[in-house]
Amino acid sequence: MTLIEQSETIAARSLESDLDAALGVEIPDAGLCLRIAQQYTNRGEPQLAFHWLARVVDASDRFVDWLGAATQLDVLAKDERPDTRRQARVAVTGSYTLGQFAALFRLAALREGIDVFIHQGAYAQYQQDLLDPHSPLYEFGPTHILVAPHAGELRLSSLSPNPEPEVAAEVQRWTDLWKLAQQHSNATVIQHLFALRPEEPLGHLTSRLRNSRSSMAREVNKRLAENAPHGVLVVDVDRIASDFGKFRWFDDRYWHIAKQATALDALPVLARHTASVLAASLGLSRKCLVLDLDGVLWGGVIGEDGIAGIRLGAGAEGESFVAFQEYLLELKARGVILAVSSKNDDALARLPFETHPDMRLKLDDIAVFRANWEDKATNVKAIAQSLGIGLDALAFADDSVLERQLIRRLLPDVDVIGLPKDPASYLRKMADYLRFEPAGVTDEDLHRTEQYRAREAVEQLRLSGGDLNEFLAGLGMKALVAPFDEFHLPRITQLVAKTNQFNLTGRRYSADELRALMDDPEALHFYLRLKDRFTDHGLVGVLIGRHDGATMVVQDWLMSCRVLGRTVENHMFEELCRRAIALPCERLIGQFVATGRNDLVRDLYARLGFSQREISPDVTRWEFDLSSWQPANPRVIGLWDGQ
Amino acid sequence: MISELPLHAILRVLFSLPDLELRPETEFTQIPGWDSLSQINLIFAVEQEFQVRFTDDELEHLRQLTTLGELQAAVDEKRLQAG
Repeated sequence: MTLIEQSETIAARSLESDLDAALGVEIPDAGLCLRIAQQYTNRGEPQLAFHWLARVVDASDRFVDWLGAATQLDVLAKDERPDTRRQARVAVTGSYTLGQFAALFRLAALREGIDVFIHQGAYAQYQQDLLDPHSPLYEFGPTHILVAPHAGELRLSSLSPNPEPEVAAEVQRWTDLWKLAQQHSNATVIQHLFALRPEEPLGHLTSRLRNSRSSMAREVNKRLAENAPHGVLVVDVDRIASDFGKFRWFDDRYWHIAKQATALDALPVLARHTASVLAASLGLSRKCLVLDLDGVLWGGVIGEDGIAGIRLGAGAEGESFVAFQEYLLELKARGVILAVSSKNDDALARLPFETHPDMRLKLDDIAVFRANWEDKATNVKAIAQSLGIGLDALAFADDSVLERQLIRRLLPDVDVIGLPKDPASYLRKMADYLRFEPAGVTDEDLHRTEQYRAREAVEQLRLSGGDLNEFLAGLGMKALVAPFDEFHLPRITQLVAKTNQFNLTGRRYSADELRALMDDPEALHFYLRLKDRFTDHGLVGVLIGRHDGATMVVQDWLMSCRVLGRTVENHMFEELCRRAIALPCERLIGQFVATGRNDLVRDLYARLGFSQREISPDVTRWEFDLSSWQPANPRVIGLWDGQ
Repeated sequence: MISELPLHAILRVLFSLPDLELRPETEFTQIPGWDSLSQINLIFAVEQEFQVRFTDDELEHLRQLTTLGELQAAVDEKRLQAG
C-alpha cells in the first residue's frame, strides 16, 4: 500500500467514525461538523460538505467556529455551488469593516437554504456606492442591497438646539438613499438600523431630553422602520444588540485598530438575524408550527395523569406552560398557523382544550389537530397535505428527542425546534426562533388559520408511511428482558399502578401480590428495560402470565406510553413466545378488558396474529397457536449487553 | 516531529487547513488564504481561546508581528501576567 493510499484509508475511517459520532447526538458540535465538511470536500462531495458547513450555524454561536465554516464555504464555493432552494446576489455596503460580517452572513444564509453571491464595496463607501448609478455595486446586479451603517455615522449633534429638523434631515438622507437604490436597481433593500451605544453622559436625563443625541437616534430608528416603503426591509439591530448585551456588542479596541463597529463575537447573531430577513423576503419563512401536547403545552401526560393531574396554571411549572401558550397565541395572531401532532387518544387530547380552565389555546386556535397512535412523520405529512403547504413550510416542536430525531431523519425539509428540558425556557427558545419572520403583516396573515382550517375540513387524507423501519433500526435500541426481582419490584409496582393506555386489563396489583408471583411456579413474569443511542428509558414493560398445562394465559401486559411506536410490544411478544414454548406450552390465550382509557390496545392481539375466541362488549378473548410462530429475523430491538 | 504551538489548532480551524504544516518561524503571510482581515480575526480568536484581553497598545504591537512564534510568545507573556 502506498503512502497516499494509506492516508486515504485513514481519512475514510476517520470520516466514518466522525459521522458515527455525529449520529449519536442531536446537535453535533461545530468542530465535528467542520471536520466532516472538510473530509467531504477532500472526497469530492461538495454538496455534503455544504450541508455540514450549514450545520455549524445550529451547533455554535462562536465567531471562531463560524469563521472556520465561512472560510471553508468561501473556498468550496469558488468551484461549486450549493444546491439550495434559492439564490441571491447581495451587495453589502456600509460605514465600517464588513468583511467578516459578509462571510458569516453568507454562511447563515446557506443554513436558510439560500446560495448568496456577495459583492462587497470598498470600505465605508455606502454613499458613493448608492449615489453613482455606475458604481460597482449596481454593476454587480444585486437582488438585495444590504446597508449596514454604525451609529457613529448618524449626523446628529450631542445636544441639539433644534432636534426636530435634525432628525427629519437624517431620516430624509437615508430614505433618499433607499430611493436611489431602487431607481438604479431592482434590488430589495435591507437596512440595518442603528445599534445605539450604551454610554449615556447625561444619565437618566437623556431619555427626558428630546434633543439628546441618543433620543434623536432612537427617533431616527423608529421613523426609518415606520417609513420603510415596499421593497425596503429593516433589521432592528438595536434590539439584537440589547438582547446580546451592549457592553459586549461594542468592543472599542477593535474599532480603534480595525474599524470593527460590532464586536466580532456578536457577528454570528447579527448574521443570523439578517439572513432571516433575507429568507423572509424570498418567501422561505415557515408558515406552520406543529406542536406536541404532553410536556409541551402542559406538564405530565393527559392519558396517565388525567385532566386534574396535568401541570398547567398552578405551580411554577404550570405557569411556564401558560406563558408559553400565550406566546404561541401571539404567534398565531401574527399569522403563524398552529397545528397539533400528539400520540394520544383523540378525545383525551382534546379534553384539556375543552375543559381545562388554564388552557390559553383553544381548539379554534389549532388549524389541524391530529392525535392518534400513528408515527409522527405520517402525521406531520398529513398536516402539510391538509394545509396544502410544503413540508418546508413547517416547523416542528417536541420535547422528545426521539420524535425530533425521527422527523429530522424521515422529513428533513421540516425544521425541527429542539425545546430545552426546562419548560421555563420554552418561550425564549421560541422567541429566538427566527424562521417565522414575516415579510410584513397583512390581513391575510391574520385570517390564514381560518382559511386553512376550512381547507382541512374538506380534505381527505391518504398518506403513505415514511421509511420508519430504517429509522427504528438506526436508533440502536437494546432491550433487557428478565423475570421480576426484588431490585426492580418498586418500579414494576409503580408502572402497574400508573399505566392506563397500554394496559390490556387495567388490573392493579399491590407490591406484595407482585412479590408473591416470584415464588409461584405456575406464574410467568418478566419486565423489559429499554435503551437506545440517546437515552436509557429504564423499565418500561411488564408481562404476567399463568401456565395451565399446554396453555399460557396472558393475564396482564402493560407498557409505558413513553416508548410507544418503537415495536417494544413486538419484542415482548417474542419473549413471551420463546418462554412459553420452552415450558412447553402449545398456545397462548390473551384477554382484553376495556377500561375506557386503553383503546390503544383494543386491537393488539389481532395485530400480533391472534384469533378472536369470545366477545362481549367490554371483554374479548384471543388465542394464538405457538406451533405457527416464527421468530423475527433480524430483530428491530437488539439484546442488551450482559443479558 | 515539528514543535506544535497551541496557536496552531486555532489556525487550522480558522483557515480550514487540517494538514497545514506550521512552525514557529512560519510567517502569517505564508498561510494560504491569509488576507487583510485575517490578522484581526486571529488576534480576536486568540483572546477568546486563551481567555486574555489585550490593551490598545498591545494590540498595536501584535499587528507588527510577522511570525507565529512571536504571536505565541506574546500570548504566553500575557497569560503569565494575567496569572
